[in-house]
Amino acid sequence: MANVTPSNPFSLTKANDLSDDQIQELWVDIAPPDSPDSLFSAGRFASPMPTFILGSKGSGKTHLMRYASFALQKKRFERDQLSPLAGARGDGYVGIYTLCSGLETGRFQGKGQSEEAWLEVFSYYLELSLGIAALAVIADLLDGDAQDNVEPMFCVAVARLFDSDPPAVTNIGALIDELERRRRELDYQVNNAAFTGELVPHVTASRGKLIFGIPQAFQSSSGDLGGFLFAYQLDELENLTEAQQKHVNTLVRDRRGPSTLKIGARQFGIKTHATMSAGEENIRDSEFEELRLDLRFRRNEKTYRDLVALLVDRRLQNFWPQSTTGIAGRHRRLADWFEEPKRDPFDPFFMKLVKGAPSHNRPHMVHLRDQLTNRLSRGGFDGVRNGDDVQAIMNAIAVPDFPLLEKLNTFLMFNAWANGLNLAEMATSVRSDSEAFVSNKSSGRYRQKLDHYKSDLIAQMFRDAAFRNNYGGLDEFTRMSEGQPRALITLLKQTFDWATFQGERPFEAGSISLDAESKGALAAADWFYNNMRKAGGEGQAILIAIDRLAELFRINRFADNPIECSLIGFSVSARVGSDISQRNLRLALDHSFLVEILGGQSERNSEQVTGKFQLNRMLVPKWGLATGRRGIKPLNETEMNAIFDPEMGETFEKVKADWWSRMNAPFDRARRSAKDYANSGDSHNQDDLFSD
Amino acid sequence: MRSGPRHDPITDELQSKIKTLHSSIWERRADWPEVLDWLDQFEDHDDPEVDEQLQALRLLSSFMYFGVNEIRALLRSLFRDTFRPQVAKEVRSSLHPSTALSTVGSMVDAELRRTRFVPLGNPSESSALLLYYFRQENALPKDLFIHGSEIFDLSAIGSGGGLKVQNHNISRYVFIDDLCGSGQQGREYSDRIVKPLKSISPSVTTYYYPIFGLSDGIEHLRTHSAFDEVYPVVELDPTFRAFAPDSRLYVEPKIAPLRLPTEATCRRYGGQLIPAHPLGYEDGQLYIGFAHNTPDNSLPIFWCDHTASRPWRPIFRRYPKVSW
Repeated sequence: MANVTPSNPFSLTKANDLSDDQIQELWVDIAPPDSPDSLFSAGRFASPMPTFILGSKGSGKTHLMRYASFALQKKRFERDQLSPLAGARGDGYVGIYTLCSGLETGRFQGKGQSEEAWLEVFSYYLELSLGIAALAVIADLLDGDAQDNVEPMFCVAVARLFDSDPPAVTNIGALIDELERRRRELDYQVNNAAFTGELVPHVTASRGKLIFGIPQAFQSSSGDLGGFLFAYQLDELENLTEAQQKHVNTLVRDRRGPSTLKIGARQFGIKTHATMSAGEENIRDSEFEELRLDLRFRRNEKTYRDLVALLVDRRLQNFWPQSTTGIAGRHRRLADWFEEPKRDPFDPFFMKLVKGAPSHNRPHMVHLRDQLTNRLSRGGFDGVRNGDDVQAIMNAIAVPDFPLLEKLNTFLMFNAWANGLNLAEMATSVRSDSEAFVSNKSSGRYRQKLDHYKSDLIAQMFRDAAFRNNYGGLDEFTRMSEGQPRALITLLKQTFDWATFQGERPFEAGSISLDAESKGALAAADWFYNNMRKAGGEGQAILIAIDRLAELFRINRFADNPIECSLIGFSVSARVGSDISQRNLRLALDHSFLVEILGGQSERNSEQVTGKFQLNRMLVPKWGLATGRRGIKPLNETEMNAIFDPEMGETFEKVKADWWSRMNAPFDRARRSAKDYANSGDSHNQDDLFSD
Repeated sequence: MRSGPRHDPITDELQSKIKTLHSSIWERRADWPEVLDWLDQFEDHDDPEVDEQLQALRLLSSFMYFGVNEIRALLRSLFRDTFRPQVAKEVRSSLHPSTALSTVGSMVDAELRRTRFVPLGNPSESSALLLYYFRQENALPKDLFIHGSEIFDLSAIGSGGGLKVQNHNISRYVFIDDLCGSGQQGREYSDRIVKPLKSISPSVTTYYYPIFGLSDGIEHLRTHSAFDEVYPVVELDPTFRAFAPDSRLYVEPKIAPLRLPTEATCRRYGGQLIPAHPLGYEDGQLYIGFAHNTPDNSLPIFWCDHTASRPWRPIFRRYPKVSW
């Protein structure tokens, strides 16, 4: 481990920033490495079948690949007192890790040269780079007598791989030097092509010859050098152009000998699966396998929860030992370090939230009474003819001791109003349900409504009290991180910073306050959001779309009668929306601002594929939205375009006004036909809450 | 106290800003409990227009703190960008325009060897500390540094002789200070040291180089002191005075109306703390502090402590010059 103690155990968030020792120390898995359930075995490093390791930013691809690389394998071999060769045989592979960004692939284009020429140059450059990396591993694998006996023969075999100018050397060090010299020469040509106008590389080896030939030459040099694979680990493939990816795909297809490729990339960073082999496409499960890391985590919440708990624990052990050794930390569950938001309707906290005011003075009661009274001035309606009726309703639904239940009652009244029910009768029914719930905590429909709408109702009460919306608790943070360990680390990093700034002693004494957790969550959301500003025009389009979407969800969250509870998701048919809207939806997904909802995300409904999506929960604190998604709002054509096409600002304002009037008293829009809409398949008003 | 779960967007924004400053430029000074403890000394009010705590918090979020690294960088600049070019200019003016650059360079180096850097004030004061950093940052030899008392040779005074300079070979004296506020301290020093020096050795050149200088103070010294050259590394024009009509703190139209009420608040508390200088020494009105100390030209609400006429908890404490 590095000897420097950071001031925040979560300050390092990117695997690229970690040293080899830190990668090893901070690695956690959900099962032993030889178990099929483990993350490590999911990478299938010892399998000859090439694997694409995909995942969104921060899902752990680089950490997994670096952990599986030879630099780390070697450390484990040393720890286990194994020779490198014996260790490699035990693991079944050696990992040759290369970062595609390190190849500076942007250089291989333009400068007055043809695309074909650049592709050949890139191909040769990759050949040399991976060849050098493989030779460096081989140099480490051989030691002592083996080296003396094998080296000359191996060097001769490698020399035969070249089409011209075979390196005339007899040891691996000299071979590496020679390949590096050729690469430097190529670097010089590539870098100066813009000035010289020339690109005359001296290509001495054909595609794949060194990459696949060197491992083969090594294992043929002696009978006791086999028994494992050379796994070329190319990370951050998204940095390659489509043509360059095509070249890599061709290597995947033409793989031979004791070699394989393990390719790390952002989920949407794979630009093509085409190859240069007569235009053939690589097919999943035929030419390659796919591991989707965050999907794997999101599919199995329990696994992910276990993993992040381990991950946080490991961080604390390494960077904050006082969390487990101190008196306060010993035998303490990780989740206990985090204060949890209050959700129990009988918690005295809710009385504080209304400042102990009597029922008739509480904001939600005042609001309902005002709305009913206003409506009276426009003529009475079913069950409400005069001020006395209003007062009778207010008296019926008051719950002086439990303000959250009282808030629920006002919501039920608004819902009945929106559905044109008799409010006097409704008030009586709500009162009896409410009383029953208070006396026996029954699990009937009243409780169900409470459970469904609690998050929105509490958010509204917080807003009425001018309190900051709360986000906190390890469970909530885990949920917010959407299967991306780095997102969780970022949340904890920000929370830790806030907690220490506010004078708390996180993971040492007491619990991290909800205040610090909420501010940390907001700071993490801002960080995530603002990162997108760097993405140029595309980034702007995504931000506009996400802002609009969140604005609509906010209208719902703070409405008198939300159409959906805890709304952060929507569904949309693949046929709905202009090209621009669909493109921006796709971009928002690519950049993880939106997340595809699993489980029936591709429902077939009258032959239409309907996608379900939600806001990335990392972002929701920015708008005070819920982290626990429940409702999903289907979007029609107009809504889809108004949200995802930046040019549709005016339409969006109309959609917003429509959402607002539909969900808020006096609910004029709720009972009006959707005449403003050309495509009015948008009648999704919530039904009467009590008609099951 | 402005804490707890209440969500006030302005307070949140200011708190966020202070957190960023605390963990970066402020070198982890003024964490939130300290800020709250400091704010607690002001009255709070539901109306943000008259809420003293909000006024103080806003002022604090603009506090300019210069840590050791920043001070060291400014001292590098003082030598590299201020003093050395000045010497080069003076050397060149006495040479033929065709003189080779290398000749100029070696003459400048020779002149530097005939220069002495002097802290302005007592060896226990901040300028002596600055000279230590100054020497390190500019890789200067130790013998170029002296204390003010070493300028003169007093040995002949008791035996009927006059005041003499100790080293006739020295052509330049550079006086270094952290801040020139009203210029009064510099002027006193000039009267006490520089004037006598110039009277017995008129050919020497004297320089006064504070790291920071208020424009008025700098102008005052240029016209009323014996220094030949007065030049701050950073000049603070009148907009840096917290409550000047064109103060840079209250430029935003939404904030501008807060200037006078905030001034009144600072004057009221400052009057209880330092009755003669409620807004800082000689009405400095600054909001500046250094790693080694906070100057008394800054608002007393920032730096006053229990030694003031009203006990006070400072946020950027000043270590005063104690008189026995």
